[in-house]
Amino acid sequence: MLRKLYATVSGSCCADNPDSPQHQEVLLPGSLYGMIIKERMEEILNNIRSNIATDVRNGLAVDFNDSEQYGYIFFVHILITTFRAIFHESLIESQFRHWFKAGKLPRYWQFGLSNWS
Amino acid sequence: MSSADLVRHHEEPEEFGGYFIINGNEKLIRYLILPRRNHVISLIRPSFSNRGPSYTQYAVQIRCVRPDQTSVTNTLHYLQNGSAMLRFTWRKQEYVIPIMLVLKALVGASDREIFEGIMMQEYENTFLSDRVELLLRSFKLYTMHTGEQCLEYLGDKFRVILNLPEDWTNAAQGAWLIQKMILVHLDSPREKFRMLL
Repeated sequence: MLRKLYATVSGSCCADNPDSPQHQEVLLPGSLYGMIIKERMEEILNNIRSNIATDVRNGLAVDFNDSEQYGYIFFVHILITTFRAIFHESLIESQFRHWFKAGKLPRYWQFGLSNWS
Repeated sequence: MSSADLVRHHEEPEEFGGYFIINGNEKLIRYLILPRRNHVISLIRPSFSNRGPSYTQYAVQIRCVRPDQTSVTNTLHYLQNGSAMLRFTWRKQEYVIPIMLVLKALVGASDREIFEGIMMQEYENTFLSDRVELLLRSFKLYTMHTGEQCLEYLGDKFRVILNLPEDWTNAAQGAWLIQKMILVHLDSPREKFRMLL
């Protein structure tokens, strides 16, 4: 890459045309679903993590040796977070449905790609 | 149908299409065009020089695709002082880091290794050797010598943004950054290093 950069600067290699099919590929719908689902899932997991992290920071002290107390807190956490995740998952489904119906993605989904519709 | 059957019918083996019928209306997902994967293209765009002081219009770009088909675009910008900056996007935010920092952090490369790697025996090409020399000299500002130091530096600077477990060391965070953001289609740091040269 560095060599190509320097070659471009010196003029021994001409600039590629990003509009030519030689430098393009097609985004298949399956990959698109994959990207979206991955991003949503990542967001859910991050939410779960940040919730736990906040609790830990707020001094929700966990004594790892006291298995009963830790187990209890952890159990409640798992419950809450799973419910949230399920809720979010149904959200993903409804968003997908909306996408197919209306032909438009929610604004905050438009990651890095232009020309959506 | 299995992948083999799909191929026999001239279809994409791992694709299930974007065709739907909703309330009696046909809906289909329009195919979008993307830059070709894992393929370096050189760009000359006047707008690149507006990115900041000493940026020029020259850059090379690669769109790297992970096995799960998600992609990261890495762009290498040429600077007026002969060195280069690597640009990537993380959570819709753009970041640039000096390429030398990445090269050193990847494999702990010595200056000689980088020089020989870029020159590729083409010693009579003085344009190239001048640029490489400038590249190597410009990095002396950072006073970092080993790969470990570079990783620690990267991890230290990106700690807040990456949002990784707080008990990870700076070096571990730096290594994670490089593994997840830079040339993601390659696995080993050595391969990434060779690709960047």
